[in-house]
Amino acid sequence: MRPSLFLQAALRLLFPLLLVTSGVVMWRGHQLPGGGFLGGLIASSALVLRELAFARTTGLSFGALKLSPRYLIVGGLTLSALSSLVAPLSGKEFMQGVWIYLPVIGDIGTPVAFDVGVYFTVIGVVSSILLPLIQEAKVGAGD
Amino acid sequence: MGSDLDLGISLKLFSDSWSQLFVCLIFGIGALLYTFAWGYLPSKAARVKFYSLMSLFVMAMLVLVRADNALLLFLGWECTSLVSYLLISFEGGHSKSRKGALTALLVTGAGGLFLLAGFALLQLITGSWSLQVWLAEGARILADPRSRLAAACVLIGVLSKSAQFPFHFWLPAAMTAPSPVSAFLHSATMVKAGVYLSYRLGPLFSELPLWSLALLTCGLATFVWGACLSVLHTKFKSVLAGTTISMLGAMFLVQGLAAHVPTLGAVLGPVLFGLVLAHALYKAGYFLFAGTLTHASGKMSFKEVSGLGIQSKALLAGSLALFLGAVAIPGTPLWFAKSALLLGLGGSWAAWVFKLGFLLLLFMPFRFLLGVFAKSPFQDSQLSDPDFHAPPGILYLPILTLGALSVFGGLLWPGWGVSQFDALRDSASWTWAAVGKQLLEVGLVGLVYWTVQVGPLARAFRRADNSRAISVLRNTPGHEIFESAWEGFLKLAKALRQLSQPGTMRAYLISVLLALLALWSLATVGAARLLPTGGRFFMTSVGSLGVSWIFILGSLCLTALVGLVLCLSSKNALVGIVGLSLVGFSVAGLFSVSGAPDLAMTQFAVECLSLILFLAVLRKLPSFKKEQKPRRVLFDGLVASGFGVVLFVTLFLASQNQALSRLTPFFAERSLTEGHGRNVVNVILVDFRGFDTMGEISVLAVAGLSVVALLERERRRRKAASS
Repeated sequence: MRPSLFLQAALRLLFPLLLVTSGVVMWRGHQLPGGGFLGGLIASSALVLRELAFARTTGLSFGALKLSPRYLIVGGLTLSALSSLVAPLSGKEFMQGVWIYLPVIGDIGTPVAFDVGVYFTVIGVVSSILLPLIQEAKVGAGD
Repeated sequence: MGSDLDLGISLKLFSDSWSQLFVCLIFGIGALLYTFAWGYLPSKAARVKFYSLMSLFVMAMLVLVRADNALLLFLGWECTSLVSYLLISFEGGHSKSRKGALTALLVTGAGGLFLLAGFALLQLITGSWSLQVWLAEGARILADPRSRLAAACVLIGVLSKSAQFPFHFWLPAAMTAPSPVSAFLHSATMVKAGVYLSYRLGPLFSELPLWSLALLTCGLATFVWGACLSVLHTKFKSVLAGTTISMLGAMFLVQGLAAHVPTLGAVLGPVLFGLVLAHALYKAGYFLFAGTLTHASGKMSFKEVSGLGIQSKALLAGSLALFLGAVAIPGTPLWFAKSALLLGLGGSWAAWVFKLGFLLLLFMPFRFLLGVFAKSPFQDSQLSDPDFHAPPGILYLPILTLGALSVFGGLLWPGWGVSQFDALRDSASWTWAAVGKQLLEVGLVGLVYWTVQVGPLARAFRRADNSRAISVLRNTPGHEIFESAWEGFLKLAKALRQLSQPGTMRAYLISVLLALLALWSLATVGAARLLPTGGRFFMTSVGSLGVSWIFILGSLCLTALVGLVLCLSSKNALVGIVGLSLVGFSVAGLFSVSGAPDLAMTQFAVECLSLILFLAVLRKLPSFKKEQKPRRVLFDGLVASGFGVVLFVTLFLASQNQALSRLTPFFAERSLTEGHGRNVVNVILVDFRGFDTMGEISVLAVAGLSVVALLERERRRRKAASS
């Protein structure tokens, strides 16, 4: 696989754009088409594109911040699990939604937090499977 | 909740002199063993392991002997088997000790299951799990024909636990355990659990000929077998195992005989009390003695040890005391039990069996006293000074205590206030004739011992190879059946594993698809009556579509079909993968025009990512051509198309389900009011059916982490290979 200059140039703009889009898609999911799963897939495709474009290993790094997909998986699952525990603590049924109204942001509730957990889990899983495989394909092509 | 799970298990304990005897043995001998183990075990880690396992065992054993509820008793019973497995394989580094432990666990565990079946039958008959109730309702139980089956099941459990013929082989195999473990489990407590239960349930079953005859024959066979084994073997612990099995056999034989010999039946309780107590005392002492000897000299058999002399006076004193107890010098507990037993038997044939067996058993104390301490004329086998390291002093205390108790224990009985022991004392005949006869017997065995070990016949006996005789004794049918059954079981497991875990993706996929195919076919057949109405509905729906719709849907379907043909006909993997993606994108297009934007977007993203995934691993896939053998293609094609057809029909029928048409308005109405969201699909995913989603992302996470682990392993392997 040869690194593509066009893709590299395009990614300068595309990468942040895709990440923001994924966040927006995830966030608006409750009202409009989208959701954590789709948002996670979009963010993953941004990461995959970047991994494809460059000869070096990019992985899950954002500037100085480097992450291991494992942490995203564990963190996402934990967030989802914790969000489902809010309801029993506030006297409702397990996993029942608990909503509060915040100014500016609007309605916010545990299902949203749950969806954020799904979002991160999906990113973690897809990037833990795809990124190493692409990296290996790059190494294999370099032989 | 509680009432749903109520199995009638209560923690009710009860206590009579029989269970108190066992409690005394457990606590008394247990305390001595705890002391012994402190000096015997080399390291702190071994001590921690020993004390924790042993305490668990003590608790299980206490539950066993104190329980009134049969299920509670069973709990203790199985728990002792389980802990005994861990204790026998204490030195798990040796494959022999693991094998012995496994044999013990399998035999006693399987016997335990029979016991449970017997208990369940008794519960069915009486409606109660209480032993007391069973004993009280003996007549009613025996009137029921199922009681025969129950008695047989209980018998199997009892005989296997106490290592009785035909289950006797596990006890010699279990001798790989450390000495304190053998002393406690295999002489004083666990193996006597069978005796405990058979005597406890004796009043209930003793009138069944099946019960008393089985006890009689199994006990007799084991009594003789164990005695012969103890004479032939030369290893300390194997000799002790032989005598232990033999004595246990005697305890069952006594119970079996009691139903046929009324005079013995009258003293059955005292005799059994005496036998259990006396045997536990001197045999535990001998196990500890053998352990000390091995600890001090590193030797494990009589062939290697002799002429210890008075190097260790404490050891000599212990052995002497144990000797006096074990040869039943008049006044010792064993003597009381023996004389009451022979008195009860009178002049029947069984009395002679007992006399002969006890004579054989007398050989063991002589070997432990004279064989170990006296000088042998065969100088090459002397135990010289450098071989013998004086063991820690703490080891002597339990041996001396047990030795003293096995001699003077009978004197303590009046203080116990147990009627059985008082009866035993009263039944003993202190006439000169009886006392003299016993001493004469001991002298006789001593003479025989001298003849074959030291005297004229010693050289011939030393040279004689008795390994053949031992192997004949060892290869009894019970043992062989167990061995071949176990081998067969392992073979079956291996065959099943090879069948179910071939290790290729294709095989797993095919088995999953075929299983789903079978399940869904059943469901489809059940709902086949919906097919005509569904068909009509489908036709009218298609008929109501406009020309432009038919054009859009048709072209998408056509694209999918092109992709399919491309995928199937291509000889090139790359083209095949692109064809597969084409199918996926067309399906996504179908979703997007049919009012499912969420699904369409997700499908598009998934298709993109899986296309990249396939391309990334393309070089690693197995050869595309190799997969295209005609026969395999035909089979795979049949499975795939069959699955497709069944899936289509199932989904089609499911869409005709009336319940589904109620669900749509349900979610649509509540989405905003209760889920705070207008996107019904998302609200269902994260709120109404959030628990499902939780499960899905958990599966996803596990899959992701597994892939990480697999790739990591591959990377490490490659790194190791390259470096």
